[in-house]
This record gives sequence, C-alpha cells and structure tokens, in this order.
Amino acid sequence: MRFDYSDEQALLKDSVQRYIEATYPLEPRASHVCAAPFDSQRWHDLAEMGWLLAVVPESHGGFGGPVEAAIIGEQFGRGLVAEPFLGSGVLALALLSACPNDPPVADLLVRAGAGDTILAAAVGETGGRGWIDLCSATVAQRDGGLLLSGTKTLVLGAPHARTFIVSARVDDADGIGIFAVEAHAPGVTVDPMPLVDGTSAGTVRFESVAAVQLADAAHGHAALVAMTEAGVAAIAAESVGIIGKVTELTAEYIGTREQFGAPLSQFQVLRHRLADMVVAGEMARSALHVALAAFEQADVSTRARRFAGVKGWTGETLRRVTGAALQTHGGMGLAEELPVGRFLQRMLVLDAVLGSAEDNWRRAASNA
Amino acid sequence: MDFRPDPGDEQFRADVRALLERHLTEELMLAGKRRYAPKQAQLRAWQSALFEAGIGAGHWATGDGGAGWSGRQRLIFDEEAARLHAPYINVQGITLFGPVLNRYGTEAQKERFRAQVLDGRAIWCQGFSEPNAGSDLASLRTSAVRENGGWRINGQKIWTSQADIADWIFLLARTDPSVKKQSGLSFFVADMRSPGITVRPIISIDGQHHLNEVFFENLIVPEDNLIGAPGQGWEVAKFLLNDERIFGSADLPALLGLVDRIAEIAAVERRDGRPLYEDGEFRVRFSRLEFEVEMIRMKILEIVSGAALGGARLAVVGSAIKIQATETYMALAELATWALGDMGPVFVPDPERSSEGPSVPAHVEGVTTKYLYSRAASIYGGTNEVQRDIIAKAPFGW
Repeated sequence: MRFDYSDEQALLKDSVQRYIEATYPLEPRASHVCAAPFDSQRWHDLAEMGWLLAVVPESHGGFGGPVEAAIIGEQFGRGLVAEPFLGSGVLALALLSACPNDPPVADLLVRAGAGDTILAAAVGETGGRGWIDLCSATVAQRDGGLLLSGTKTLVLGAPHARTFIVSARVDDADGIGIFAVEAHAPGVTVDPMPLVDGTSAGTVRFESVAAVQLADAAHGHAALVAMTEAGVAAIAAESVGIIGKVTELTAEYIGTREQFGAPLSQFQVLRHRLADMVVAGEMARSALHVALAAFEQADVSTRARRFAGVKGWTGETLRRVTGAALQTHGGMGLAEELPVGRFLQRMLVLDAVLGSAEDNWRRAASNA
Repeated sequence: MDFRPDPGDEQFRADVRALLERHLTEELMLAGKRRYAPKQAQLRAWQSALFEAGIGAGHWATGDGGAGWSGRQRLIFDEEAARLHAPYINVQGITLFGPVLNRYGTEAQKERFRAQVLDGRAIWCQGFSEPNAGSDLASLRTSAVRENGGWRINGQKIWTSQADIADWIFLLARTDPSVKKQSGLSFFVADMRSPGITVRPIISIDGQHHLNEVFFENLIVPEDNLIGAPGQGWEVAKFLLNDERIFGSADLPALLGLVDRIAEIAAVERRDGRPLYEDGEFRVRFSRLEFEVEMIRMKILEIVSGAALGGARLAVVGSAIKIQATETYMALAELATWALGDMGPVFVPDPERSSEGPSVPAHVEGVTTKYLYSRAASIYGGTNEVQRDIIAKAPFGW
C-alpha cells in the first residue's frame, strides 16, 4: 500500500488540475437551471485525454483504474464540471465494461471512450434509492429479438445520451440482465429532469423497445455491483474536491470580510467551524481511501459494507460541510453570483445518486 | 497510490500474532479485555514479556533497541494486540519518553534509561499539565533553578496518569522566566522516589484511580536529568505530543477493542424481545461507528506512510485525527453502555481491586466505567477545542 502519487499519477493530477482551472473557472452563471449546456468540445477534450476511460479496466482498452478515476474525480469536484462525467464517464462505462457480452460491449466501449457516443446508465427506479435489485423493467423474447419495457429515474445525462445501458428483469430467468437500447429507437421517451446544480438528467420510459443483451440474468447483478462501486468511489473523490474547494473559499471569505471592526476569522466560533471543515476534508479523503482499498477486498459482504459506508459517510459530510460553508458566508451564501451555493446544489445531486447517506447506512448495516 | 495489499505485511501479521499468542497469559488477556485502570504489576509483566519476545519497543530503530518496525508494521501490531485482548502498555514510557530519549538524549542518558524502559523495570508518567496550564500548556509555572551541578524543582503537576504506580516522571519546568513563555521551558526526568515528590490521588467519575496530583517541593535532580538543552523543552514537548496525537489519542487498539465488545454485548442483550444484534437502529449505529474506525485506521496508515506530512497538512493532520478518533471512541463507549440496557447504569468496580461490586456477567464488566472515563479523551493531549485552534491557525496563517 502506498498513499503518495506515483510519477504517472502526479502527472495525471497536474494535467487534470490545469485543464479544470483553465476550462471551468467558478464564474457566476446567469441562471443555474439548465444553464450549463452540454459542451461537445469539452466532451471531446475529455475523451482525447483518455479520461473517459479511467474506470474501464486495461483489459478492455481502458487505462489506470480506481486510483486514476479518483484523481480525475477530485479535480472535477473542485471545478464543478457540468458535463455528465459521473453518469456517462463513470456509471455507464463501469456498468458496460463489467458486462461479458462481446462484441456489443467492446464496440460501445470504443465509441464511448472516443467521445463519439454518449452513454447513460438507466438503472434506478422510483423508490429504489440506490438499491440495484429493485427492478421492475422487463425484457422479453419477441420474434427473435429482445423487447424491453419499463421506466428509469434519475438517469444522469439522459438528454444527451445516444445509447442507454439499462437493467431489466429477464422474463423466463430469475435475475437481472443488462441491455443496450438506442436513444432514438421507437418506444423510447426521455422526459428531461434538469437538476438543481445545472447538470442534466431525465426520466426515461421504454415501451417494447428493441434491446441488445450485454449481460444475461446470471451476470447482470455483478455488473450493477461493479457500477455501484465505481460510482461510490467517484462520488467520494468528487466530494473530497468539493470539500477542499469550499473550505478554501470559506477561509478566504472570513479572512477578508469584516464585522464588529475585525475580520470574521478572528471569531473563534467561526475558526472552529472552519477547523471542523478541515477535519471533515481529512476524513473524507480517508473515506475515499477506504473505497480504493475495498476494490482489493475479496470478501463480498465486507466489500459491500465498506462501499455503503463510504457513500453514507461522504453524503453526510458533504451536507454538513457545504451547509457550514453557506452559513459562514452569511446572506452572500444564498446569492447565485457566489460559487459557494453551487457546491450545495451539487451536494443534493451527489447524495441522491446511488442512494442517500441514510439509505447507505442501512445497506452497510445489512452487511454487518 | 496503490492499495493492493503487501504480502510482506500479511506475513508480518501472522508472525506478530503467533508471538503475541505465545506470550499472552489468561490473566493478561482478561485485564486487556476489561481495561480497568492499569496496574503496576500488569504493566511490568506485559512489558517484560514483550521484551523477551524481542519486541519491547518494535517501532524504535534497531540501533536504539527497537525492532525497526515501519509505521505500518506498528499499526499491524496494534491491531493484532487489540484482537487478542492484550493489556495496556506503559504508553508514557514506550511511546512518549522513549522516542524523546532516542532523539534528544545523550549517550550516557540512553545507557542509563533505555534498558529499564524496554524490559518493564521502569514505569513512566508524564508531568505536563498544571492547575493553571492545561490547554495553555506553555503557561506552566513549575520552576527549575540551577544550583551545584543540578536543578532545584518546585511546583505542581495535575492529571498525571499513573503517577501512583510510576517509577519515573518526565516533566516540563520553567528554567528561564525572562524570555517568551515557550522559550523558557526545559525537559527533565525525576525518580518518583526522590525526596521532595508527593503524589495525591484524584478519583475520577468512573470511581477509579487513574489520575494524580504531583507536588515538587525542593526536589533536587542532577544535571544529567535534563534531556536536551535548557530552553529546548517546548520543542521536545511538541515532538512528543505530535506522536501522542497519532498513537496515544488515536488509540486504535482501544477503538477496535470496543467494536469487539459491542458485538459481544449485542449477541447477548435483547431489545423488543429479539437479540439486539437484529435490531435495525442498533445495527445502523454500530455499522456507522465500525466504518469510522476503519476510516481512522486508514488515516493513521496514511500518516505513518508519510504521505500526509507534506506542506500545510503536517500541522493539521495530527490534530484532525485526534479530534476524529476521540469523538468516535466516546461514541463507541456510549453505544456499548446503551447496549447494556438495564445493566448500563450499574456501577461495576474493578473486580481485581474490589470484592464488593455486584455480580454481573462478563460482558458487562468494564463497559460503563470505560464510558465515564472516555469523556477524558476529548480533553487530554490538548482539548479538542485547542486542536481546532491549531488547525484554524495552521493552513490559513490567521
């Protein structure tokens, strides 16, 4: 085990950091809802630098692994990247690359990794809250093909997706399979659900849509677990970046803003709140390390408990820290022109994806 | 970063475990499980056994009489010791004083003190806090005045753990009142049997005797009892305290021990007519704390691997882990006591010291007393509020 970056990892960190600082300054947005349109140039930049393939194993043409994905995720968190990296670059690609059915898998991986097609993972359903086995979408054999029906919620990047990677119950088998569905196929309806942080999602309805099987009923569950693990690690990494950034913004603010004839940083109650934010950042980084170490854990139940714990801890910490940052900024924290509130908006999204803190503590408890 | 387990670590773990199993007696394991206030005979017996096993102070450098363990190996030892219910070690001697001696002591001082720390002949206590210098340690008033090739020490220490059973004390005293308060301090050691030292017990809210007041009235120590140079005391203390925060306050064996104990309690106690272990609310609270312990373990690993010690993080990480680990420890002790239900508020004194306590099942022993004394954790080693001051100051330079 080593905690410091290798030379390659340090290079990766530097280049992601430089790119984010140059491309995503935290400038004010005119209006946040849907004000972060998908930028295909940026998406191709990400693809060109290979970052879209960070969660794809080397055996599938990807690069690096969980550590590299975490390095990218942390910097993306600092810059509030609006592109659907979490949904398309992490969840969909992790799910896809864990599916065994070549050639459709290999073909999609190549096109998605090059940025030529955008994928979205359509796995969640109403009431599921990150529970991957809650799945009422079904797939059935009809006339030599597969037809998929069901409704998926909080599909990140849905309005931009060209292909959906969908979980569905297989009619005559006891289990969940994974399928590819083209977004323009007849029977697919995308209801855009703009998210509070300006990123995009949607509710996607499938009505007897032609589907290609990527994993059968025996392999779908394992692929969904792999997606969850990659997603939790990516959210933990993004959260480390967010916590670091809002702590810096808050420190800067209380160092300059004066009240009662002194900078706010002279008030112990605020200094201690800031110290708590620093502690939270240190522990969030350790939570991320727990996730990265859990990828090496062989025991299934310990592994599930660790990832659920990471999501629980991260979600709670993110709420506390972004809330503390907002409070410390006083009335200014509520103004859209200051970036601090946007991290609070992002927190709401990250907490809901793959289930909230509370959902995940319960999940950890059931694997104790 | 690379999180693949190192096969060398697993071999080390197996070796340490075998060694511990060979040297732990039933009696020591029972003491380790109950964890009432440490006793002199147990501290000596366990230290002497570790010394015999060749790991009296595994983390000291080999040239200093240690086994040259890496930080990770030291952590593995702590984990295995906790799993096997090893009793307390004399932290003040092995963890705190030893490294100071190795770093700041003269050859003659090393010769004089080292062997006795390693083999358990000398139990040590720490004389830092004073009635008017707790969180504000640098304000301490105990004075040391040079005379006839030695030093005359006058003053009072308080909250001195194990002063009643210690053979030696290390202490901070003011040798130069004319300079800035941090610059006038020096680091001394004294034989607890010296004339001029009086120890008075403080019984804490757990009904036990861990803590003491120590009075120095014209205590004379020879020149050679000064460790480091006159005026170097604050630097020595900071060196010692940083290690204390990581391996003293972030007491991983104590955290792991409580996790085990709670699992044991939950297997016996019941709620709503069902085993507590099946209770949803309990399981969520317990899983959460178990995760916190894993996260703290990961943070300690990061610290000992040296990766967290770059730049501004150096100043905050010791304080951050102290705050988190003590909060988790107190929450675990609270959950353990809650889990006992009707047995929670029962006062169960140390059965080795008192035969008058109530007769209770083994899983009850030492739990509530531990909860009560756990409240010290956010106070000792610099209160958690002082740690927050350190953190807020360090990275932002206010």
